[in-house]
Amino acid sequence: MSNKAPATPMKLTVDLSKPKGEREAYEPMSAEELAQSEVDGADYQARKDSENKIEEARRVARDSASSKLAALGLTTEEILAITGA
Amino acid sequence: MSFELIESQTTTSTVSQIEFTSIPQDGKDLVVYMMVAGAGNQIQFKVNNQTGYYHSRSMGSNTSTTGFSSSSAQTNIYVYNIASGSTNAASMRWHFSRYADTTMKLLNYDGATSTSGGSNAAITSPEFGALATSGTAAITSIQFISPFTSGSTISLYKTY
Repeated sequence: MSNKAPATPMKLTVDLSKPKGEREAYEPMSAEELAQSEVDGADYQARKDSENKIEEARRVARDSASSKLAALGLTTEEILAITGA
Repeated sequence: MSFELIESQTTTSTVSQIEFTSIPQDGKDLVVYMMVAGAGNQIQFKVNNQTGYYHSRSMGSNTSTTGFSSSSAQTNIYVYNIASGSTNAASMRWHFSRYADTTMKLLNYDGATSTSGGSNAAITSPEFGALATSGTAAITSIQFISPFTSGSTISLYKTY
């Protein structure tokens, strides 16, 4: 097992108020920035999970509706014309 | 419409965040082109380092024809999923309309990721979207957050 401390993530800041060639600066991210990044990442994942759940529910409902239309005797072309799916 | 390059940066090492500050306010639209080498995952951006800046959202992809929509404030926006691997890449365009306006701004974005690299790389996840904001501040800084590998390029243009 290595005792080496993990490297601090770096950031690149480009200050456009400075002359070209003097704008870029590579520096370690601050503890606050790293903490905010973790919060943002968790926030994103929660939102993405919610969106995926909604999308999956739509897909299931669409498939169910198509099956019911087919049972009524509609052709695949007719179902596609109605649902656009 | 004419384009003027404001700045282009190619990373010389892996960075987790790229931020442009003091964006000149004399353009009409702001356009960002990004070419990112693999080893990343999602790319997130923030404007003016604010949370809850964009207040409506819609997006879609080749795997989601119905798209998503949300009227809630977005703390941050992640757009792309880039598969890990040195031969994977993503190319993106972000268009901030009326970025210096204090009443209304819009963002459109699109792009694609490839999974195998090289000239015949398979494009697997084209995505697109649009955002509107009720934020009243002009855009003076933009942060892009992701594990950007060395060699990733971001170019910032303004239009007239």
